[in-house]
Parts: sequence; structure tokens; C-alpha cells
Amino acid sequence: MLKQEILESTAPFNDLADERLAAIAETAELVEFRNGDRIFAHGADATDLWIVVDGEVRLCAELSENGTPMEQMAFMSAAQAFGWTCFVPPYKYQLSGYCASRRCRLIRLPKDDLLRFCEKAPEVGFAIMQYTLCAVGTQFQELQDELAKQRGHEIMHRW
Amino acid sequence: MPEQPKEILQQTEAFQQLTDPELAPILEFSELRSFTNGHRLFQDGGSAANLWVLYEGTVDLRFELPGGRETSDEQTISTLGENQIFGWSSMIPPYKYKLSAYCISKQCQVLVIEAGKLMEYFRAHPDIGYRVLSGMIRVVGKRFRQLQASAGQAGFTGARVTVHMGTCGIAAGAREVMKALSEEVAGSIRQNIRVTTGGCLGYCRSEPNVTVRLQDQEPVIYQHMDENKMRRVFAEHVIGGKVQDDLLLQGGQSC
Repeated sequence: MLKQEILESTAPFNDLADERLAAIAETAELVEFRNGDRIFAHGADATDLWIVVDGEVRLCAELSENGTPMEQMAFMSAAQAFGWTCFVPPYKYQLSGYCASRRCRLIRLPKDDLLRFCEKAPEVGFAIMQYTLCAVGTQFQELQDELAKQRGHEIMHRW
Repeated sequence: MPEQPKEILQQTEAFQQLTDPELAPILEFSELRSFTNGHRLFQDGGSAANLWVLYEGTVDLRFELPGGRETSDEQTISTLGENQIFGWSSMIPPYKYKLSAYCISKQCQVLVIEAGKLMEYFRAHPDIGYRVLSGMIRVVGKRFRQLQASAGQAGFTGARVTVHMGTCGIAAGAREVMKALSEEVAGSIRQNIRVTTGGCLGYCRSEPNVTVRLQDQEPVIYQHMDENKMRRVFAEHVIGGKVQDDLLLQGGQSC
């Protein structure tokens, strides 16, 4: 029941009918981590979508290409979903995920189960893909913004 | 070159899986438009009402500078080639274009799709929406990775890449080579990569041929190119500066 309640409060599952939520919840697993535990590693196969039940998760890159430690990218807390790259080729996690509170409980949704469910219930698939497009598209836009800002500063510096 | 909106969508990755009856309603809120060199298709910050498919020509996505100054390719973040979708902001809140789009070829032909009506159609037919959005995510994810990769590269100099598209080149697969090149250029933030088409070099048996000329260097001709070789030459030579010796034109067998 907990899994279904959490799903119900998490986008993009919050608009789904009860029977759909119940079916998705059946494939979900409740897992617990302790402070500092790595939930998944940057570059590993992205096999699951994750939802925070309680506690906090820190998302960060391990190392940049030139070996410089990277700053943390985001904190995820209750009812937030992460790991959307499981739907985006090449299906690898782009960041590492760590438990950042004394403990955290997460719902693990296996990607393959979700995709099978999406095929059977395309309205669920559409909702999930719409949300994924927003998540990935927003990251893409942020990268474009950052590059434009850097390039713009260089150009204006020459004026 | 496709002339009908249906053919254009059929050649566009995200819509390729749809059947004719599934494509038909989308055509009702799509229209063909033509732009000439230097024309701005849309401006950053403007309301993103449309999704765009480029089917002929080349489009630069550029950021604008303060004071309404004229843009140049220094401000180019991505260059798009044929069969590519752009204007993703029309599918993502807050539905504002993040960059401006400029026609940089002699002419650009585009299919303009009303994004609001497209999403309405998907909501009414979620099975179609699921398939198209899955395809779009693959395309966006690929371009995102390419942009990340090219942003991390250093030491680039300007380049001109010519795909030789005489009749013999096209028969040997030059169109597919051009498509792969366009995709790579689209995902790159590098400035001054210019893609051009050329005629037969006179080495028909070695087609498709591609000529790469980096700034201040002698041109290099590659032979028997295909999509994978083109992607490799783009990454290793155009971006990385390393000539791919095993793909170079050998001796040149004439027609």
C-alpha cells in the first residue's frame, strides 16, 4: 500500500487510475540505504527508475573527464523520481546516486517491467514518455544555456 | 527530395513508425514553409508554438547578443541538416524557444507542426503518442550526448566537409553519408564546420567520396564511405584532427 501511495504522489504517476497504480506498484520494490551507500554508479547500465519514499539522495558525477572532482548536481527528496536515463539511449546512468541522509528508503521500478506495462497501457506509456522528454529536454536546454552563456561572455569580452 | 508533408514525416526518425492513417491527422495541422539565407525562423525567448522538421537546407541554432546585434556563426550552438527535428521547446514547459533558428543555406524548406494540436492528438491517441515520444526521446538523448561530447573537446579549428554527390556517388550511398554527417554536425557545438556537396571527383569506383579540409591544412579525400565511417571521420578527423589513414583514397580509380 505504501508503494502505491508514494506512486500516487509522484509525477508522472499521480494522474493514473487506481488499478494502473496498483499494477505498477506490484512490480516495484522497496529498498533501504544508509548514509553514504551508493545506489547506482555513473556509467552503469540504467536498469531502474527510482522514487524517494523518505530521506535524501545526492546525485553527482564521480569525476570529470580531466580527473577533477565534480560538484554535486542535485538532491532528491520524498516523492521525487530520478534515473530517467533508463529510457534514453545508451541507457546508462549519467550521474552517481548516494544516500545523503541517515537512511533513505526508495522505490525501485525495473525499467523492463515498466516498458512492458507501457506497451499494455499506452496512456501510462505516454505519460511516462512525456515526463521523460521534459526531464531530458530540460537538461539539454540547460546545457545549451550554459554553452551560450560561456560563448557570449567570450564574445563580449573581446568587444 | 520529398515534396509532400507525409513523405517528410515518414523520413523523420520520431514519426517513422506511424502508418499512413496515423500520420494523416498530423498533416492537417502541419504546413510547408520556405526560408532564404539569413532569415530567422524563430527567435529565442519567443512563444514556442511549433515543432519544426527541416527537410532541405541547413539551419543554425544560435543565441542572441544584447542590443539586437546581428548574429554570426560565432553564436551557433548547433547546426541542423536534413530530416532533423528542432524546436523541442514547444514540447517542454514553459514553451519558450531557448535559441534562435537561422537559415544558413541558400534556401531552407521546413515542415511546421502546431505543437499544441500535436499533443492534443497524442492525448486522444496515447498509443501513437507513446511511440512518437519514445522516438523523440531517442533523438533528444542522442543530440544531448553529442553536445556534451563536443563541449568537452578542445583545440578545434574550422573545417569544411564536402560529400561528393554526383550520380555515381548517390548510387553508391552518398545520401546516407550526408545524412550521417548532418546528424553529427547537428549534435556538435563546434563553430565553422561547413558542410557542402560536390560533384564527381572522377574516381567513381571509390565512391562515396568525402573531402575534409581543416583550416590551414591540405584537403584529404576519403573513399568508400558509409554512415559509420562518416561518423568516425567526423569524430576523429573533423573534431579530433586525426586523419584516418585506412580510409584515404588509394590511387584513385577513375570512372
